[in-house]
Amino acid sequence: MNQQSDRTRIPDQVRLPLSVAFGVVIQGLRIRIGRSVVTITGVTCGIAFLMSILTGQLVKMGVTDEDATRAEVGRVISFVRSDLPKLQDKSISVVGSGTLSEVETRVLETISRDFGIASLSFEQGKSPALPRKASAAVSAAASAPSASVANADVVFLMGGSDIPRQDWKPFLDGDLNRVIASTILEADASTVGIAEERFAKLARVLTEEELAKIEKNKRKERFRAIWIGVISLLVTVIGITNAMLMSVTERFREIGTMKCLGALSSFVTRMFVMEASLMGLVGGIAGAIFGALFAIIIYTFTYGANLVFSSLPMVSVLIFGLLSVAAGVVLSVVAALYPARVAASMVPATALRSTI
Amino acid sequence: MQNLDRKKFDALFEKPAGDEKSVIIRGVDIHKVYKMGKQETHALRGATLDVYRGEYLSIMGPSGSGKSTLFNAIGALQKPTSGRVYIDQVDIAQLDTEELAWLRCRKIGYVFQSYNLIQVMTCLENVTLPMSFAGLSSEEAREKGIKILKMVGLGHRILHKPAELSGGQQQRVAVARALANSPDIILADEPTANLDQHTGQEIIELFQQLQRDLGVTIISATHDTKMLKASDRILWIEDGRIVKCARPEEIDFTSSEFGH
Repeated sequence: MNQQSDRTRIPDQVRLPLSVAFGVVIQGLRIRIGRSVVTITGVTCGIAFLMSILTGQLVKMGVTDEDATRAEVGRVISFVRSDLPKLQDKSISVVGSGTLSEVETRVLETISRDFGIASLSFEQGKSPALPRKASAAVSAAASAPSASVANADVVFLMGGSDIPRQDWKPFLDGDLNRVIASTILEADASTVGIAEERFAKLARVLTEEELAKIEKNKRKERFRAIWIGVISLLVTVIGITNAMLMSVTERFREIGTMKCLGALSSFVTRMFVMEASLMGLVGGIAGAIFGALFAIIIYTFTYGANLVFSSLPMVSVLIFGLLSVAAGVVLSVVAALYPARVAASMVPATALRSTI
Repeated sequence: MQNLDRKKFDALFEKPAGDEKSVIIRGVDIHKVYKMGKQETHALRGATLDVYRGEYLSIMGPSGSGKSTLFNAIGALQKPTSGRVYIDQVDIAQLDTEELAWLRCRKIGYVFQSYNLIQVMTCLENVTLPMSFAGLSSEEAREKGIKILKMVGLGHRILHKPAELSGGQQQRVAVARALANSPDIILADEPTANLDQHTGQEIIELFQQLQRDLGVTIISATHDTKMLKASDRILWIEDGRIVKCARPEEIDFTSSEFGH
């Protein structure tokens, strides 16, 4: 028919730039502030729930690790006290290699605080990251040559699996009361090359049973964490979807009106996606902060502030926080996309008829 | 219709000799079927009508007669199941959604029974919204919006929200919004049904003024006698068909049909 002339007579509707949609969205959010706050609160609750569960898991895992570390440090220190009497009168020297484990660092810290360390030397120039107290105590000794070992009464061997190779004979022969103690797992009298009675082994070798138990606990804990994470994510998805569905469907009439006035479907969809992502962002940030604070406060009551704050890995909390915010934005957009598209593709007459 | 050549098609819209009128909307054998599950409802069963440029046409009919469906079909708000609707000689069935959006934006202004103003926006924003859809800059739109609102007598209320206005004032804002992009046609679906006698009369006068001063074609679905009296032509729709066409002076408004 006269299709050709039709096409030339009716041009395509103007595609509005993104900034116009953004302006309409901002204005819409500002004007319907009450409704926006309700929707954002929905997102906030979902994300806060997710974040509190995640942070809670971090706190619990941190506290468990911290408990184990503290127990081990306590064991080593009590062993040191009972096996190496009158340590406070003795000159202590530490010879290390590699990096110190958490337990070793704390043992070193405790020894330095309680008894004082005369000299500290590390192989391959690697200086351990010492806690402030300990490093202050040994700062003078650290620069001293390893020859100062010769004047020590007790030598602690610490660090990685590399046992410091040294001829201990001159040291041990200098005084018959001199001993070597080690927190290195692999070190014992024969590997160090000295007599059994001059060596104190501080590290504890775990039995197979203990190892299996730890492994089993870890597996159980990991499974629990995943399970709780999935469930809480599901709850969050449902909460956010509900909030977004409501916020879109209650505006079907408005969308119909806009389409009567010449709005394109793509404009309507874009508007809702923008609105959803903005609300998701605000709700996500608020939710992540509230969730983390809530979990930390609750666990502070259970475990005490000291334990919680010393064991909480802040970097992990931050990463989980960012992930939660991202989840908030993505879930909001996904949840709003479907109803927005349905609304946008509606025949204006149908959208106008809907009464919600 | 498919096989009709261009010449014959154009001839359809040519003015008959001695007739000053030109057709702006032509509906040919419009059918509309709504499907509710397995049940089919025939809202329109072959309605055919011409609307002339610059006239004030009222469509009348009992509820359920297909009045609103016809209104939606000739207003490009809903495509008919079969039959053709030409708006300004353009077959709307041939248009895609973007072209339809353009058409709704510039050719037609809509006024609804329940105003359908966007509640969260001020009067001015409601009026300038279609202008921004047409690509006008916000300053131009603002200027034009204020001018139109002054024309409908709401110059002092431009920054009020619809909820702060009376029904009559809200309907004036809706009329102003319909006029935003200087359309050729205004479609009004029961524009006075929610208004009292006095404010209804004001809206009718506003329509008459628009028809007179701007040469806008006004089509309204209504059974308000005052509105019928004010129009140039009245179409009766019954059971999905146009059954009668008359001028108001030919009609006895005291008959039982008008509830007297």
